[in-house]
Amino acid sequence: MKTSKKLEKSRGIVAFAYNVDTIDYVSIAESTLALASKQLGLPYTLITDRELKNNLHTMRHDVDTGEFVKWRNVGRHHAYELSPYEETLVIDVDYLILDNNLNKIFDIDWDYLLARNSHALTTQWPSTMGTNSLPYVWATVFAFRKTARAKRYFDLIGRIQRNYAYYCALFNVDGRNYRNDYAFAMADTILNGYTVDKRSIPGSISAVDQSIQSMTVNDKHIVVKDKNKSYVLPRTNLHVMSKAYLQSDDFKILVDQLINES
Amino acid sequence: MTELDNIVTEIRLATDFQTNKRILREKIQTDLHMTHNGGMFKIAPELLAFVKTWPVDELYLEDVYENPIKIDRQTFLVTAQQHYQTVMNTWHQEYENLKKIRKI
Repeated sequence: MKTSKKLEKSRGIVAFAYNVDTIDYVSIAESTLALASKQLGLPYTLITDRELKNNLHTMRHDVDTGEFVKWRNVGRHHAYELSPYEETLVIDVDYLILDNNLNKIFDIDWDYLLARNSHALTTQWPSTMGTNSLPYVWATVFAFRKTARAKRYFDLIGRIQRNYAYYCALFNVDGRNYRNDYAFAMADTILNGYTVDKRSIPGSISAVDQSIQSMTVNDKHIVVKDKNKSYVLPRTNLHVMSKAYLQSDDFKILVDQLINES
Repeated sequence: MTELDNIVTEIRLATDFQTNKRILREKIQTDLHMTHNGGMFKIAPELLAFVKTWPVDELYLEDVYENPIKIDRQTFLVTAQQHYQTVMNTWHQEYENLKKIRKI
C-alpha cells in the first residue's frame, strides 16, 4: 500500500491497481490518483497486489484491440479493511476526476454510495444486468464510511464473489465473468431487503468507451480524438476505457498539464 | 465536392454537435445538484418558484434521495438561486463555445 502523504484527514481517495502482462495499471493509477487528489483536495492511497495473497484474474473486453484480455478485478470488497480513511472515495484507475462535484457527497448522510447512471460517447449502455435482472450499478466510483452497515455491504460482496455462479443465477445476470458492477448491485439489493435503492452519486458517469488517439485540454474543454472524429467535452469526470491511451506518454503529459494548471 | 459529399459532411457535423451538446448537458445536470442541511437537491426552476412563493419561512422539502429535509426558506432560496445562476451561466457560455467550434 502506498499513501500520498501523512494522514491528517480521515477522508481520502483509494484506487486498486493490479498489473497484468500487457497493462501497467499501477502506473496509470499513479497518474489518475494524483489528478483526483488535485481536483478534490484529498489525500490518496494506492492499493496493489503486493500485500494481497489473492492472485485470481478475470477477463475484460479491450476497446483498443477488440479482444478479451486478462484483468484482475477481484479484490474491491477489501476496500473497507484496506482503506486508511474514515470516509473513502474509491475510483477505478481509468476514472479521471476533472471537476470537484464529488466533494458534495460528503455533506450528506450515507453508509455507502454508488453510481447508478452512466452514458457513453458511442454506445447506449443496457439499463439492466440481464433481460430480467437488476438495474445497473457502476463500481467505477463509489464512496463509503466506516460503519457497521458499510462493513456488512462489503462482506456481502465478498460472499457474492466467492459464490458468483449462484448469485448470477439468482438474479438472472447475463454472463458468468466476475464483474464488480454486478456484485455491487446484487449486494446493494440484498442489503436493502431485495429492493432497489434510489440513492446514488449525483449525475451520470461520462464514459469514453472507444479506442482513442489523443486527449487535449484547453481553458474550458477536453478534446477527445478517436480514429474517426473529435469530441469536445466539458471538464467533467471521464471514464476512459482505452488502456492503450492511458499507458501512453501523451496521457502522462495531459495529467501533468492538469495538475500544474492554477 | 459533390452535393452528396456536402450533405454527408453536414450530417456528420450535426451528429458531432449533438453528441457534444448531450455530454455538456449531462455535466450541467450533475452541477445543478447542491447540498443543504444534509439533503441533496437538484436545483430546478420549479423548486425555486415553489420555495419563493411558500408563505412560511420554515418548511420541509423532499430531496433527490426522497428524504424530507428541514430548510429555512430565505437561506435556501438565496443559496439555491446563486447556485442555479452560476451553473446556468456556465452552461450558456459553454454551449455558445460549442456552437462556434462545430468543426475542429
